[in-house]
Amino acid sequence: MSDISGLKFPDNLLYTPTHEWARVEGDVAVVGITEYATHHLTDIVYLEAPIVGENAVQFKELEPEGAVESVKASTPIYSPFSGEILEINDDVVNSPEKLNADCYGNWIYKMKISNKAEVGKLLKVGPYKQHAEKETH
Amino acid sequence: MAPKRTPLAEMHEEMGGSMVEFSGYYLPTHYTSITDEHVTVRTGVGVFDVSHMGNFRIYGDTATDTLDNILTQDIRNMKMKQLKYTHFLNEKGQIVDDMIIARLDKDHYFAVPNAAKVKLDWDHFNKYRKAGTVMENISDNYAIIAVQGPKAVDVMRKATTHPCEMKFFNCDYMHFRDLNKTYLVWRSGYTGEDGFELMIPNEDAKAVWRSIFKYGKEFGIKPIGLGARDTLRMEKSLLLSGQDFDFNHTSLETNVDWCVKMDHEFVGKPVLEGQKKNGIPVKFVAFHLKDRGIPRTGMEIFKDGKKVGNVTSGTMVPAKKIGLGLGYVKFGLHPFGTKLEVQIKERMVPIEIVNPRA
Repeated sequence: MSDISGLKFPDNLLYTPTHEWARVEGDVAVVGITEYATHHLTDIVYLEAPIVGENAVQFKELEPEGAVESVKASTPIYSPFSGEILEINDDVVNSPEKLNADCYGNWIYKMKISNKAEVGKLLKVGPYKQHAEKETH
Repeated sequence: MAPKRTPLAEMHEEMGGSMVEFSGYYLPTHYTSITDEHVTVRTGVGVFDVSHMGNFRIYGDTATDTLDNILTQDIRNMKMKQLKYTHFLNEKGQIVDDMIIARLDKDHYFAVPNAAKVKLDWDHFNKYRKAGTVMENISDNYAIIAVQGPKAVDVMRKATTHPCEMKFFNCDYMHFRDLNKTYLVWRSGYTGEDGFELMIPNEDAKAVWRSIFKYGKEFGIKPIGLGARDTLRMEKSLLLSGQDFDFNHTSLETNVDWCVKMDHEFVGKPVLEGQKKNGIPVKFVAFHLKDRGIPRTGMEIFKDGKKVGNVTSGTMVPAKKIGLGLGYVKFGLHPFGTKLEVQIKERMVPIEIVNPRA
């Protein structure tokens, strides 16, 4: 019921249908959540950090931990790729409200991309924008 | 089915409300942010559209007898212009709903049931209506504007000619300056703060809303959405019908057992008498997390590895960054200071039962 005009969609990133963004740096991905996600969650108050060393599966929820919570609801974080979680951004864990202010400047975790072929399955900015628009209506 | 628009829907759109469907109504979750709106009501004054709530008018020679038999509160001894928070039960003693009722005159009452339960409550009231009691479901005819916060009284004194000296949980007719009209105003609310709830016929709702904002400007008045309405009520441990009770608890199991007066007959009373004699199985509590995390509806509460309760509501208290939960635990584990655990995914997080009014 709200529209996506006014939301930022950087064109140098790749996207999941579940509203994560990924920046690919060699065989490492830097992952965060999109403004569409932060806008719909409203006030983000808590980040349940993923666990370093866990093995994620592409397009699946991070297990056993990994969620973004607003005052109203909790939403799981999905993984854009299969591979090991390498690093967590402690700065965002300690101040999750930074995601409301700048969700593209504040990454959540870094992961190893175990299968480079998976990169092609992510959405580029155009299709992701269309997808977000469709979810809005 | 498209959600119903309240008489104030246009105001929310105009003021930039982020609109959602709630209980079949088109209402704002927030305008700026839930945290900002929460803090506004705790420290200043905010305005809610609660027109989705129901309105019953009950009158006639036997109105007092009818209500005294349905409601857990002692209606016969209500003073004129007084409000009471009350439950009403089915014959199994389970809470059907909670509401606030006003005694406008000796045989004339005005009650506000919960939006999602209007139909159910109406049927329940009709089932126990005595001859000589007239009931009108006027839920679609009234808007309710809630002006809440420590500065609410300042706004009402400017917007109306009324001195606003009545105590909390009383009501009166107030004359609104801009409209030159008189409406029923309750001194009540669902935020844990001082406040007023204005019963306004649909056709005047927008004009009253505008007038309240005009006079409230100097006090920093803001519109408040459903998000902050929920965090405000949770922080003060106020029950949410359909979530904190839903045909699975008696009044004695809640934290508002004071709304049951045992010195009169009412539907469901024998079950409560049985609980008083044989013991109350569970008790509603508020708890704080002693570690990171947020409790959510449906999570389980443990003591020494054994399940002892469940969470019915939870949030992180805006601005305070405290994980707060409401729920039921085994009787005896409910006193303030009791230390238990809540399971969040695979983690057992320590919690402590707290006094939300402290």
